[in-house]
Amino acid sequence: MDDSSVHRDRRPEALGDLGVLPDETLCSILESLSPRDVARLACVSSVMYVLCNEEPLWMSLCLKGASGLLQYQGCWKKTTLLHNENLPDKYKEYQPRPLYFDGFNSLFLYRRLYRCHTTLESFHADDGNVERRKDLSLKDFYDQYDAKKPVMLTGLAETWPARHKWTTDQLLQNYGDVAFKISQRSSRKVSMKFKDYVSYMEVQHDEDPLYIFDEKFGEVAPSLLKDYSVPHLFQEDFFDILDAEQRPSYRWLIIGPQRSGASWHVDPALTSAWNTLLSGRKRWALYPPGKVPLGVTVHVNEEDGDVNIETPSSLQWWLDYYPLLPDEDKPIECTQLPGETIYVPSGWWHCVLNLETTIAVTQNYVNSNNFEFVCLDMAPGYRHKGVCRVGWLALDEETYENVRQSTACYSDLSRKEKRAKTIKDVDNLNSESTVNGASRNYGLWKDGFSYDIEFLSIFLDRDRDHYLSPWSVGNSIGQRELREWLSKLWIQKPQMRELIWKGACIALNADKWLECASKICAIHNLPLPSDDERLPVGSGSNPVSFHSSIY
Amino acid sequence: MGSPLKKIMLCSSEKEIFSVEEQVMVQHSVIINNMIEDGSYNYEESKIPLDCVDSKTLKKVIDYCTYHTHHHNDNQEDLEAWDAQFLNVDSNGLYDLLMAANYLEIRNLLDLIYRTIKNMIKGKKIDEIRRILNIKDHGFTPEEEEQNRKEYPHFY
Repeated sequence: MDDSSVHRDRRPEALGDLGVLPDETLCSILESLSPRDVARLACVSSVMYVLCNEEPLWMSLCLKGASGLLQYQGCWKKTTLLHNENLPDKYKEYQPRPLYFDGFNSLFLYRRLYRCHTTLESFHADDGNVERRKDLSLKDFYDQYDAKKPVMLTGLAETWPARHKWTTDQLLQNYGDVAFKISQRSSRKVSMKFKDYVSYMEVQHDEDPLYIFDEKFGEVAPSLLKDYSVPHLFQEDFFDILDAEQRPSYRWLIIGPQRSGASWHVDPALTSAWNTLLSGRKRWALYPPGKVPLGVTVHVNEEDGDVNIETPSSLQWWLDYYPLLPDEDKPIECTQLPGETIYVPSGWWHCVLNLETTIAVTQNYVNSNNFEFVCLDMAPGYRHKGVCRVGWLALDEETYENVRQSTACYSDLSRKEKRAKTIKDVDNLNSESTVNGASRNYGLWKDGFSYDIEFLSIFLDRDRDHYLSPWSVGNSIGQRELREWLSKLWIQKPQMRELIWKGACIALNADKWLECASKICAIHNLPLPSDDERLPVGSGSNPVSFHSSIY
Repeated sequence: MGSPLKKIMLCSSEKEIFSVEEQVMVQHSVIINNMIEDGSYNYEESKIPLDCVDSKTLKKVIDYCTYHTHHHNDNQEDLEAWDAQFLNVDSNGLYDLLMAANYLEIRNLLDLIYRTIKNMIKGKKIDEIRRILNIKDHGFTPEEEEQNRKEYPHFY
């Protein structure tokens, strides 16, 4: 190599007009191209060759076009070219013949490469804010934690066969040919045979690796269901009343290598969840309801209340955002060990990073303690959905002032000051050691924001009608199914009618409907709806169809 | 959401000041929206300095945002025709706009420019792409270039 070539910067000439763009922008342009144009661009110049052979680019191109059964081919470029049916065969004769070029350096590519090769063995953390409890009674769980605050439970899985059977090797022996669903950012459905997935896990160096996140594992591998049982603390589940095909997804098998994990989210329909780890370690971060994590944006559709969350991957959040947080703004954190079960209450933000290959099972549930929140989340409208997730930030100035005045329990800070404060103003979760004090703290974290059903119900749109309002596809059950669910609960759980009526008033405006029905009955001299017929059902095409005595 | 009559000031790299309806910029630019929302913009005194955007480009960006604010109900075809006319610029102009849209986080304009670049190279032969992108020196050795031609004859 002669001296002149060492110092030559090849970037300007090899990129031509595109050279004015930073590497990051170039890479996102490339991601918007088709695989064949990217494959072709790689031959255009040396720097293009480098940019167009980046594995993260090909991972993104592949997942954009992939659906169905995916078989990883040792690298993403090859996988894309083979898996993508729209490409002519000549594109598929891909034989990597790597070229190396001097005179091109990219901090952007280097940082990404660094993230892809980060190892996380020593990345565990535990600030002691999530209590660890053993042998917790149901009463103590309901009194102290359920729908209140997270807790790490030890010993719940000791008797499960899964405790020793759910290792990568044993699952591979028994379920190698079973295809499990893969979680990924695009909405396409991708699955992988377990044996292919394991070989993917072993060779990949992805920043945000694919992970198994399968709610149908009980159907494709029914024997897995025999390996664990729902712990006694979580037995009550109001969705049990629906038929298997009707109830929303509620249990997931989760398997993923280090760096994979679920990015920041709030569980669907404000359900609560437990998650038991059988193998590996997971780092958890949690924020109380209404405290949106730094770097996360929540969009709530004003038409149908659909909630959309924009967030960096778990790894990227911990590497790029977490260090920016002052201590008082840090989430509560813990590292879950094999055999431990974490409980995540309704509405809590959480983010998980696998520190090594992990195997876990999780279930979401609705019980008497979070039932009203679940009903709230299914009510038509959008404002209450935003408030549950991002607190005061969901409100425009006028609404904020109105609510502030009507609830009249706030200081005289201007909204501007409040907005600034949201960044800094989290409870010092450490300071409260008494159980009651701490749970109060979690629910009421700033300026009177309270994850309390009475308070949150202020934000319901009472004029919206659940029969006529558009229904978000993101809701875990349909409108008609919701009415059916509530009326089934009403009939089958007569001892809980007070609670169910409250939920039905939140979700369906049941009180208003009953009033209308009673008026109609009075006008037509019909008997009033019986107790069993108090909830609206059906599709709403005939608004009085719930009343059997009309026929 | 900004109120319709309020104006904000944007300052180009040449220190030229542009006065724009707040709502126009708030609707399109994520970073301006954030500045207004978090209250860091002062209507009496502030101007938003855009040191990496020249006057010519900033004017185009404002045109785009203004048009799309006031015509968002137009039919898709008309909007596309307007966009095509809008992006009828030389490649420098295109990349300047891209940088500005990227900096101001104007997502629909970014998408539009990405699509334009995509269409510029879609299905083209290697030498054509080099010409279109004005690539003077591809940087491959003659052996590497020869090898590429042999392996991917259909690209050339």
